[in-house]
Amino acid sequence: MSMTDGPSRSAVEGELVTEAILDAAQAKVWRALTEPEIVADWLGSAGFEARAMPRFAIPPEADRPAIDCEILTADPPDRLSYAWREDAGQDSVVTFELSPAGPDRTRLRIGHRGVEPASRLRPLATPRPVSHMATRYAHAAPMRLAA
Amino acid sequence: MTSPDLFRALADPTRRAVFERLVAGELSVSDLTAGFSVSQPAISQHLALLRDAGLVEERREGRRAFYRAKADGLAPLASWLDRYRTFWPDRVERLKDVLARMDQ
Repeated sequence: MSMTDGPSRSAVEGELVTEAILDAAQAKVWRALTEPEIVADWLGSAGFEARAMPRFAIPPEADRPAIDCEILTADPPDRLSYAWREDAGQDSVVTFELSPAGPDRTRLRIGHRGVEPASRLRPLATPRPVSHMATRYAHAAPMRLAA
Repeated sequence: MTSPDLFRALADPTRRAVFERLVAGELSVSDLTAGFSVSQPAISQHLALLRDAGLVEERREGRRAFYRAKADGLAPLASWLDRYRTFWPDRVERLKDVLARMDQ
């Protein structure tokens, strides 16, 4: 992020976006995003304890602190969001959105954005739209994965 | 480690605009106020929050204060983004592997 050029408009608004087309039906992808043992296989790191979902922790890795996660909204099979809190770091929200992309194919969009500490995240018991909790923060151009 | 204040500081559109003006160059509070439709005390409050978040720095010349963006102010945000810019594609690849092994 160059200070000499100054942050562009896109650099101070928005979210980090990752998108992919998955070779699986939407219901199957939803299971992979929500069943604790399966989540452990792809999202977890060594020592991941999935039994505690909807609240769980992802142990730290070399370049990343431990993450404390809590499911905020779950609208099967389309949308799932987590509070994503870095140990001694930044609170953020991760939102997974699924939509059909042909027979046995599913589009996945992962949006990750920071939130201000004043709006402490509410768990499932008191749901509110994620957009109201999200604040805007700097980010580079959205990154997209090839299908 | 990203300061929560950094995200809070950039959450407000006026504050973000103040910061962007200071990235372009050093300005006094009155110079800054001239460019916005908010009062000088409000601008001063935005500046205090930006300073606490490590985004701007102050220079005093007698009774006048000048502000400019700190060169490394956005560095914690950049490292936060770098972390997840590689994290999520990596996890998506693992998810694809897991899906391939799952039963319907």
